[in-house]
Amino acid sequence: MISCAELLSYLNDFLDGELDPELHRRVLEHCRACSPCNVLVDTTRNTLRFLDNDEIIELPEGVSQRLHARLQQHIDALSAAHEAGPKLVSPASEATRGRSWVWGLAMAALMTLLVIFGGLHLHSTAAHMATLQGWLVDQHCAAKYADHPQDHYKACALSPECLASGLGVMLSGGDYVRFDKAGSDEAARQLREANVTTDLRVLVRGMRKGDMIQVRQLSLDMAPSVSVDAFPDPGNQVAVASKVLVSF
Amino acid sequence: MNSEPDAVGIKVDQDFALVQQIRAGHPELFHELVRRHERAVYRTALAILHNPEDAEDVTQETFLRAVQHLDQFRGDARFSTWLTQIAVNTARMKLRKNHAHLWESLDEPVQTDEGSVSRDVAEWRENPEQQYTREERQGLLMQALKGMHPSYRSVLVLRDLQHLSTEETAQALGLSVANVKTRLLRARLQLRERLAPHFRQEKKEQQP
Ligand SMILES: [Zn+2]
Repeated sequence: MISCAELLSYLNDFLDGELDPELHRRVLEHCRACSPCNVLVDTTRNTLRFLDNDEIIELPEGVSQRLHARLQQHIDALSAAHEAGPKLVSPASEATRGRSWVWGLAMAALMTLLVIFGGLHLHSTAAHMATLQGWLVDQHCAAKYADHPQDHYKACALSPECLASGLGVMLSGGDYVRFDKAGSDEAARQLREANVTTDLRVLVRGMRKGDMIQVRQLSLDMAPSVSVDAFPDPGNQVAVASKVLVSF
Repeated sequence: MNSEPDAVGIKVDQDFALVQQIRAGHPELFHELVRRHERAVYRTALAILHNPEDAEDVTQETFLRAVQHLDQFRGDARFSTWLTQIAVNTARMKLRKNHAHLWESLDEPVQTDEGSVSRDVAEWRENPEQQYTREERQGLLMQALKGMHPSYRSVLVLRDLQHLSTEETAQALGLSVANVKTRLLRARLQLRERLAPHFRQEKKEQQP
């Protein structure tokens, strides 16, 4: 028979049902013969049952409301900060509000990254995973549209000369990051299918090295006409979301 | 966990799908993400800090940090694990600020010595928890957690209250799996000892 000390070492796994059948049997055997251990097992099981109750700790009154209010403030502040910026966003609408928020989010995330990896600079040449949001501009036109990338248009980007130069993303500060060949091809593919003419917003994620990004995932930003309300069904939302960033 | 394979065959859980939508320009959906997890975050914070005001602060801080770091969530762990990790770190920072002296012993190795396990022979009532209202149960739990060492408390809460796996708990707390197991045993036994006075069978005490 196992000892009391052995029983103790098996107690957790026994209670979690993770003990192999032979040991399980031996614990039970010990419990039948040893009353203190029997009580120990029993009362510890009761302790777990006491905890296993979703409602044992409830949110006190007001905690949730204050939390959501504070988050909304935060979200609004980020949006406002970016709507105030010159030339960044065209006339305010619900859609641009949402989009400019993403700018805020991207910037906040970037700042955080910079803080966390103190040595990492914006133009670091060390390769790192990055998510960039900006406007789709080809290399040929990059200089021309640096100040107003939102005016770059689909027909231009898809013209043979521009397409051949390769596509990339113009960030808000006028920094330009070019895509690798595969990324450029994917951007062109999505652009052909996209129902847009100008203001070619793009969200891209990949391994960035200096002024180049090796694209892993890319999405022309959801068109302004696509709102959450268009996908009331949660299953649909999942399907849509998994398409937001297209891996390839 | 609801999940379905996406276009490239990677498992995407519902939270991750929501995260992607938020990142793609739907910040209003963050509220939904918060609704799914606010209670769990609060419980974690409360159990570690043991003070409702601090727990509320930490809950807010946790979600603010989550929204700022959302870009770093890769979807290779469950969102709830990732969030718990932020909550635990935030709570620990607060704890460290409030109780620097307590914190110092936190990372010391934990021993499980069988000799100190109380051999309480009193049996408990049937379904003892049913003797108390929800408020009373919460009071009992908080009281029982109160004197417990924070490092035991956090393991217990993540494993037995939040139902994270041993591996997820280890990940969230930055501990080894073996360490989680040792602390969990200790924590469960301590909690049991602390609850015992409330749950003992009364008839034994009444006997002459
Ligand atoms: Zn025994």
